Amino acid sequence: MAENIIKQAHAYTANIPLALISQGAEALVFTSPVHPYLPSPPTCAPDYILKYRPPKPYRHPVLDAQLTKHRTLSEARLLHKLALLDIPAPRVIHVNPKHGLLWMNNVAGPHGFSVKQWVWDIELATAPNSALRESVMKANMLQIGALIAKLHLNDIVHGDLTTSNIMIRPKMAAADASVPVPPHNILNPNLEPVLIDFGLGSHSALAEDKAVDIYVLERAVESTHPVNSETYKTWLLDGYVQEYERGGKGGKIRIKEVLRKLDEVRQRGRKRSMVG
Amino acid sequence: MASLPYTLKLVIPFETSHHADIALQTLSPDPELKPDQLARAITISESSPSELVVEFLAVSDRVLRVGVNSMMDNLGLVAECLDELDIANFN
Amino acid sequence: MICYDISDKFPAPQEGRNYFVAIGLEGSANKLGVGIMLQQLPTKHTPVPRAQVLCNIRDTYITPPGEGFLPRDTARHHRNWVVRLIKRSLEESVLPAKMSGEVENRPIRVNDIDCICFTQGPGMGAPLQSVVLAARAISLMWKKPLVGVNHCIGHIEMGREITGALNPVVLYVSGGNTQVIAYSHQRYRIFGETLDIAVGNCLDRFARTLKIPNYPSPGYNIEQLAKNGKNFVELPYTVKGMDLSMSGILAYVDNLANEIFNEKSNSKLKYTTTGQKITPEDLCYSLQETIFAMLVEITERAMAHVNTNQVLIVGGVGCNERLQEMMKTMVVDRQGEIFATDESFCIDNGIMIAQAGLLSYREGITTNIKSSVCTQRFRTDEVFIKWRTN
Repeated sequence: MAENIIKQAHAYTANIPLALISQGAEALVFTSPVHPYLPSPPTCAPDYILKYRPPKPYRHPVLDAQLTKHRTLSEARLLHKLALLDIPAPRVIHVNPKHGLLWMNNVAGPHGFSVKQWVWDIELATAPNSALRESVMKANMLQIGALIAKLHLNDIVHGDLTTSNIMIRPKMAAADASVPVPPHNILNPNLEPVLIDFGLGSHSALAEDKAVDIYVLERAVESTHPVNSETYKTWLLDGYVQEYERGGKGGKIRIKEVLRKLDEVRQRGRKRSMVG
Repeated sequence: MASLPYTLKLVIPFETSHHADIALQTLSPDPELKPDQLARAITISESSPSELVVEFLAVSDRVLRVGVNSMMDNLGLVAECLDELDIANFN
Repeated sequence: MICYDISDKFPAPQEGRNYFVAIGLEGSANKLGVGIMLQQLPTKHTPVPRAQVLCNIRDTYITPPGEGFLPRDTARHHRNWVVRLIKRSLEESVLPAKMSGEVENRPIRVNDIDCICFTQGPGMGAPLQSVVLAARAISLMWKKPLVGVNHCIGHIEMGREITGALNPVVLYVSGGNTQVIAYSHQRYRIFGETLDIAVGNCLDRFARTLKIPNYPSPGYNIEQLAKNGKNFVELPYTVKGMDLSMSGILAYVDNLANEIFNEKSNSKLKYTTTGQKITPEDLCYSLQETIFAMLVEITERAMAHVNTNQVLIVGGVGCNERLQEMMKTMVVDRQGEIFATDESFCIDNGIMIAQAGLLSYREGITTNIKSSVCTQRFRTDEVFIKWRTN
């Protein structure tokens, strides 16, 4: 099945080299060193990401076409909104809703990776409960929490927060991307988080939806990083709460509501309690 | 608890005390849905061990009637089980 | 809270036999089922014996077209039929000579039975209670322990037994439930579910709007009408992550049906973009295509999440051939396997209760008569699946 779908993706992107990096239930994700329409890329450009939603043969063709178009467009619009709000996420380069193609820049870049990978690497390289580990991880976890808060404060929910959907990369040396990024060191504490995969994202002002967003992340942390999950969850939630409280009295009221809903959602044990 | 002035007492004679005891254990576990409107007590009669006694206290005659009818339906089922599903019939 | 008595001793079969027998009673909705199941102990010759269905009978309470079944009437139906069905099940069950070691086959006797299994929930309150009264009575009369069973677990365990699927993602779809379930660490965990009504309920209610007969079941009749549908009408598609919502689609399609049947109305909705008049068959077809696509999508998501490629469909709506076909297309595309059962097991029945109940009983689990109260809400993941290891 995958071969046919990959062939189709190639058919839509004549002559552009594509490398498959992931195959989810709904879409395939490729990287490409070639920009979809600029004749020559900017210097030192990272590569580009193509997200392709293939047709699903089990669906009625009219329904399928409508869903593909709607979801691709919806994700593109959300990413565009995030760009306007200056929230770190992939930027849209090109959308072809009819064929389910979405081109974005690769926010991870050559020296970035998923938070999941980052945590595993650090746990291997440092001693448990050491000051070194805390100095590398805590500040970054707080930042990740704060980033999610920023998203929620703008009434956007991610819909699928897992440690594979949060990337982390070294802070850019300068605004000018032509300055080479220094070599990567796993214990580099100067990192910045970026959210990816907004395929299930939506606009929502409801505290419940934001609470569910956080709950899904909590469960993901518990199942992927079980040993230290309590510490990580605490740091993430602290960063989240602090960002809300920075928003003055309004923020303080809103965070209380979200935390209350989070408690409820945890008690109810939403269906996502079996990740992994 | 609010007062439940409408009362009724049913006395149901069974063939044996064993049957009455089965009825008691079968009907007792389920609580009343609205205990503030209808209270019910099921016991074995003190005077005769093969008699089941069901006492109702209800907040109105309508609630009493509904509760008693429901109990009669259930008693009918229990009686049918005792009649038809005796172990001796299937061994 | 459902309470069980858990003994640390595992029960042995009676009198040195090498098999267990259980009777199962089901009545959580409008189907009243009684089943008798035999489970053999593993032997060197057969290390994983298949369970044997000795009897599986059912009587369904069917209402006139345009009407749904109400709890009080359904409870009355169950009260009227349960004793008859229990009697019939004993009369019709044959214990093979191979099992009993006797010279020839003979009818099941009460003494052959090890436990009385009944649906403790979830479901409709009054019908559940009608059945548990009979269960308690025979438990006391025959002096056999009671085992309360979760209805959903009954479907899952029967599906696994009949199809042999080892560890599939389970799509459980019926009039009362819509859940995507995967096994993990001794629980059947709910991955995705309906946020409002069940798929079967949506289909049943639309059948009422169209005044389709309820015999043999409204869903079956919608399926037949759908086969003659030609035009696809776009309906709201409401998958939210791993969950889905059906009340919006139902409201939309009910409204559309009313517009179409209201002869006075000149609504544009009556016609497709090509000017053809939309028929009830078209609506049935479009409704199925849409809601089944939603079910396949959330199942596919769960498969990707849990990294498995087996799917098992259980529950009354699982009988629908179009749903099976769509699911098969998706599963085959992923190089996986699909499993489904026929209607004697898909539709609510007593044998599945006997199966799941017997699995519990053999782990030392029983239900004290005082704890045998039924409950309308009983989540699938509340049950500790002691008989599976991880």
